[in-house]
Formats: sequence, structure tokens, C-alpha cells
Amino acid sequence: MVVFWMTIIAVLQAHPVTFKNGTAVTSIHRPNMTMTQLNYTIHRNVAVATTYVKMDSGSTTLSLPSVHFNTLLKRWNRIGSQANLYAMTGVGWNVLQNGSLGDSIHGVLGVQADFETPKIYTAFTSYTFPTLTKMSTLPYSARYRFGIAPYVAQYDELQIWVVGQVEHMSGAEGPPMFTPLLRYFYRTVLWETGVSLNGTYWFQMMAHF
Amino acid sequence: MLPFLFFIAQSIAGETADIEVTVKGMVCSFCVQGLEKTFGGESSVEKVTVNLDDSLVSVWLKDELSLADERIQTLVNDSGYNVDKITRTPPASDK
Repeated sequence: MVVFWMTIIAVLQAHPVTFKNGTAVTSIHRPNMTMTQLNYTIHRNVAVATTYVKMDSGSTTLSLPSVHFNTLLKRWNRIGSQANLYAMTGVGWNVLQNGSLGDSIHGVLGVQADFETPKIYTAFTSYTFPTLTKMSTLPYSARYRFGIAPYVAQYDELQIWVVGQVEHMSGAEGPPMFTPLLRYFYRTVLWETGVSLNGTYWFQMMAHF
Repeated sequence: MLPFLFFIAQSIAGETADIEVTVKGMVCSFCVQGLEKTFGGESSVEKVTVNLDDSLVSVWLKDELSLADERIQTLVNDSGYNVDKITRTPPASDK
């Protein structure tokens, strides 16, 4: 279950808002889990998204759809840099293996702050998932990323980033999970690969249209 | 000889964009794509290129068509960025 929540964090962080009428498709793969997201920016500050996660948790296969809005609250544009503050709001639910609706219809509330130049990237994301039956003990998650580009590529060249990712979930045992990643950018496609220090692999692909 | 030189001068002049826009906030390939797509969809635009190093959008207009500064501001804003400055190349007939 911890992997599920961390997956949702990853997806919702991926690229909250692109450009007006832009579409982003994202796919993430971790052990026993596959996620896809479709994200459409309806206004320069707002995107609507739908996410679908399929997870094998041993004896049960979970299907976890959700819909959410990603809102750009504030952006700071400078020559050669950009900083953003986002809010994510939505609703998700469990569909159990037999097709029935599970008892976990939950809200999705998140914030993301990031700063980027052509050579440096850093982002912090935090989420909570309130349900009607568990308002007193809300689970929360947090992720921090820092990346460096060893060189700056033009649009028609391959851009590589070295990224470090730290994740923490309320209720998770042990220290936060650290995953070193390599991120590749080519024109309108991004993909990332990595393995955490405890052996959890990560593969993500994203395309913008 | 003179018509030949005039032709060469016109050809060289054609390489210069009609409008150059310096953009704030452009930092990655996705940024470039958003600007190319937004400007490329404009009916008066013949060609657009984006230079990430210089934060520069270069626009070539179709013959007899124009693109106002206000419209450029809107296109850049819709892409998620801000205009720093707009530079226009005088038409060849003005030289």
C-alpha cells in the first residue's frame, strides 16, 4: 500500500500544468504496479487529469482511478529560470478485483513547489488523501527531488539529468526511500530510470502533445 | 551585376526573422515545444524557431501579414511564460 501512495505522488507531481491546449501522457512502472495518466491543460493555469493505477498487492489486484485538477497558483518567470507553486485537488476510488466499488473513496489534496534552470532542478511535493471515515488521522506523503544537468542541450538534442529523489510516507517503517535516477529529455518525450537503495526499480515515460 | 547583388542582399535579408521575442521562464524542451506549437498555430506565422540558450523566439511572418505586440504577449502568456522584449526587423523596402 505504501508503494501505491508513493506512485500516486509521483504521478500527480509529474507535470501538473503544461501549456494551453497541451496534453501530457505519463506512464510509471514500479514492482507490481503500473500507472497511466492523461492530463489536459484547459487554461494556462489549470489542467484536468485522470489517473489509472493497477496494483498487485499479493492476494488482491486493485484498480485505482482518480480525477483531479492541477492549478498553477503562482509562477515566477525570469530569464533562464522558472519557479512554480501548484495545488492539486481531486477524488479517487478503489475498484476491487470483482468489479465492485471499494469502501475507499478518498479526496486528493496536494501542493508542489519547484524551481528550475536549464542546469538545476528541484521540486518538493506533499499530499494527503482524506476520506470521510478517517478525517482524524490523515495519511500524508512527501517527496523531494534535486537534479543536475551535466550539459545543456538544444531542443533537437538529447538532454540528460542526474536526479536524486527522497520519499516519505506517514506510517511507513524505516528511513525515507532514496532513489537515484537518470532522466532523459528529447524534444517532446521524457523518460526516467532508476533503482532505490532498497532495490525498488522506477521507470517513467512522459510525452507532451 | 546590380540585379544580382540586389538578389543576394534580399536572400541574406530573408534569413533574419521578422520578429524576435525574448522570453522569461524558458528552461527545458517542453518549454520550447509549447512556444513552437502556440506560435506555429497562428495564421500569420510562416515559421518559428526557439533558442533555449538565448531564451529567444524567432518568428517569420507570411507575406503581407502582421502580428501585433498584444497578440505576441497573449501567445507567450498562453504558453506559460512572460515577454521580456520584442524586437522587429524593418521590412526590406524600408531600407
